[in-house]
Amino acid sequence: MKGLDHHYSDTDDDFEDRLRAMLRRRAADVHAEPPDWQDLLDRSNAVVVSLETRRPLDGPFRARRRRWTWLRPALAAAACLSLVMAAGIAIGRSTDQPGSGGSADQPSGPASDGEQTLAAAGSASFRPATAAPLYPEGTDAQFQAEVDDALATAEGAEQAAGTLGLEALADPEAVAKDYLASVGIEDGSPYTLFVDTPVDADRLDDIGAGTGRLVATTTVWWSLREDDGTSDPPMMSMGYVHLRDLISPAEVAAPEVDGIGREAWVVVGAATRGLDLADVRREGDQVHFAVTTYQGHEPDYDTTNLPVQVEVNDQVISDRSLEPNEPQEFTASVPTDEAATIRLQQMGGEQPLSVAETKFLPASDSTDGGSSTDPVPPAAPPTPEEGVGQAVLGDGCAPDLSLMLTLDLPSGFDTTAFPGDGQGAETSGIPCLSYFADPSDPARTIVVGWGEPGFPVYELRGPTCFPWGETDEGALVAVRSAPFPIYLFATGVSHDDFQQAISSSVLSGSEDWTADEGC
Amino acid sequence: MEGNAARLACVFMAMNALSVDVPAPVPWDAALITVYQDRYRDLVRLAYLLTGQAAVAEEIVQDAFLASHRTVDRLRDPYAYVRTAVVNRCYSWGRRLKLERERRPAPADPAELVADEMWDALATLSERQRTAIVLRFYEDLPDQRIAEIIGCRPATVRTAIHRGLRELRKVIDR
Repeated sequence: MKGLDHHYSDTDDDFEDRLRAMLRRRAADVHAEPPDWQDLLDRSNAVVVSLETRRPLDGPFRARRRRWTWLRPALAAAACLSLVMAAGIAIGRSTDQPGSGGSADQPSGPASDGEQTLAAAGSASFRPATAAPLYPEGTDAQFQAEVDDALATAEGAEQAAGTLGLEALADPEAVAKDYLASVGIEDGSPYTLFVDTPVDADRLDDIGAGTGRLVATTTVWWSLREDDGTSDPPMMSMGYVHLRDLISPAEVAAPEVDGIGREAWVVVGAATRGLDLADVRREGDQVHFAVTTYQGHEPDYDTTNLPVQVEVNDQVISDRSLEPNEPQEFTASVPTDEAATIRLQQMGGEQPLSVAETKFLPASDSTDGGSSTDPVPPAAPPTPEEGVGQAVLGDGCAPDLSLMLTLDLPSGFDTTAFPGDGQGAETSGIPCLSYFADPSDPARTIVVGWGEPGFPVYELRGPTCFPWGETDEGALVAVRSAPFPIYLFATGVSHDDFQQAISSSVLSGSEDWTADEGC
Repeated sequence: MEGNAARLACVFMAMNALSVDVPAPVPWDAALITVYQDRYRDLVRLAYLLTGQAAVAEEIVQDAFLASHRTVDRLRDPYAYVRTAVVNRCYSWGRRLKLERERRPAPADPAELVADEMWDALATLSERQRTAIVLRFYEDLPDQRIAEIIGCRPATVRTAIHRGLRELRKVIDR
């Protein structure tokens, strides 16, 4: 049977037919009978609890919380990392002068008014949507401009796929692996590299700060494991790579080339467990930053005793072990009109075991908001504005319970913009709303919740998108965190009304929200 | 079937009325039960194609129905909703399994061993590719619908299918 006419194979339709036949044959081998419905209800949460857990909440609502089993330890480590960072700030700047000396390895002076504070990958303020591309080389603004120009026409699109090599950038996991290989982290004895895109990857379009442009971002997690032949090989190191899609969803309507989707993923940052790049500042031609090593939760080996190779613009400025949990300050000279790329790698002999890297554009080039954390400009809502709002909660925690946001929305909801099958969501900038409930009567209360006990919400690796269907009246809201601000979307409500509802209820009505930066 | 649904509905509503532990009336819709009884096997088969494990597939489908049950009075198309829930759960399960076991597949159940190179090749694909291919070639869904189910752009679906087919060919041609 052939249901749809579109063929993906270049030449062999028979292959697709064989695939269909195989799938139907295998499916037919499964004989399953449904348990009695009431028995199923009685069993309730006993099923697949490792995937998801539910927690009844006080009041008339029952919120679902996603439990990402595999992500939880990552969050724990992230929380640990933030504590280490906070501790480092509290301790103050180290007077230790690490490294091999030279003009690029001097202790930094006190901060001055003219300095520019920057966010490195791994920090809560890092914004993949606007960060400078690291890899592949050449994926800079000029490349972006060429892509934009090329996609304007079908002929240009062909050129883009070929000359510009867009096809090679279509798979974020492949790009991440290429990047890791370029810094020496790849498959091969004695270690094996594993990569995986996290849940909700690339459905999570972020909003380009101040540009009104939708930008897709994703995060690829990786781990380097000892190849010991067991089913659970020891983990040497673990980290993640931030990627950004150069091609805006607004360009999806442009002609396609050979069935290849319009994606061009580039690496914009890398972070790793046990190796923290933070407190990055740029002052004139001086770039200051702090490096901290710590024992991450997941890796099975303590790598804190390994030497850390510190590079700025490919120049090694230090290659020695650092005191664990003690931020070590470095300073490098970089001309004011040049970008500064800081790369940290823990070395097991000649073998790099980890990488943390961020590229910081000179202040004059940071027109897109880039890496500045001072402050992060509010993101412009996508167009159309209807049904989109945002809430800026600031730093804080939701200890021991999900963050709960209660929105008292005005009347006038309808699903005109996005009918029940979700049509329209794709172009609305709300890519994750796949289901829309029936409209119901006037004002309703929507409860949105997520979180993991004990973790600062801002440490949820973002952006994250949560379709949400459990409300008292049936409206649906999705939440995106980037990690801040938090974007809330609802069907049918005007932007102004929704914004007002958020402002009046979310900021003041978050029962479990603790607006405390250090919590 | 309809009578059974109504009977179960009455039982459940009565339970709700008597119970002080249930915080709010639980929504109810016989349509979901109809889907459960009529399409359970179809969904298990879909989940099996996505996970490769029949037992896991059943658990996932049951979990999806339970989750859907809580929102049942808002479901315009219960089958589509549950199917999306099943796919998302399979997707999450696959990712978690992949990370936890790191590409080291558990030994196959001898009873399930069948010489099927294309089936084996399917298991080597990424979760995204496998999901997109199964939804496309088993469920015969268009790209737009697949994109809505797995939560990405249609262009991403096309890329996943295109690359997935290419990978399948590679594996089989070896």
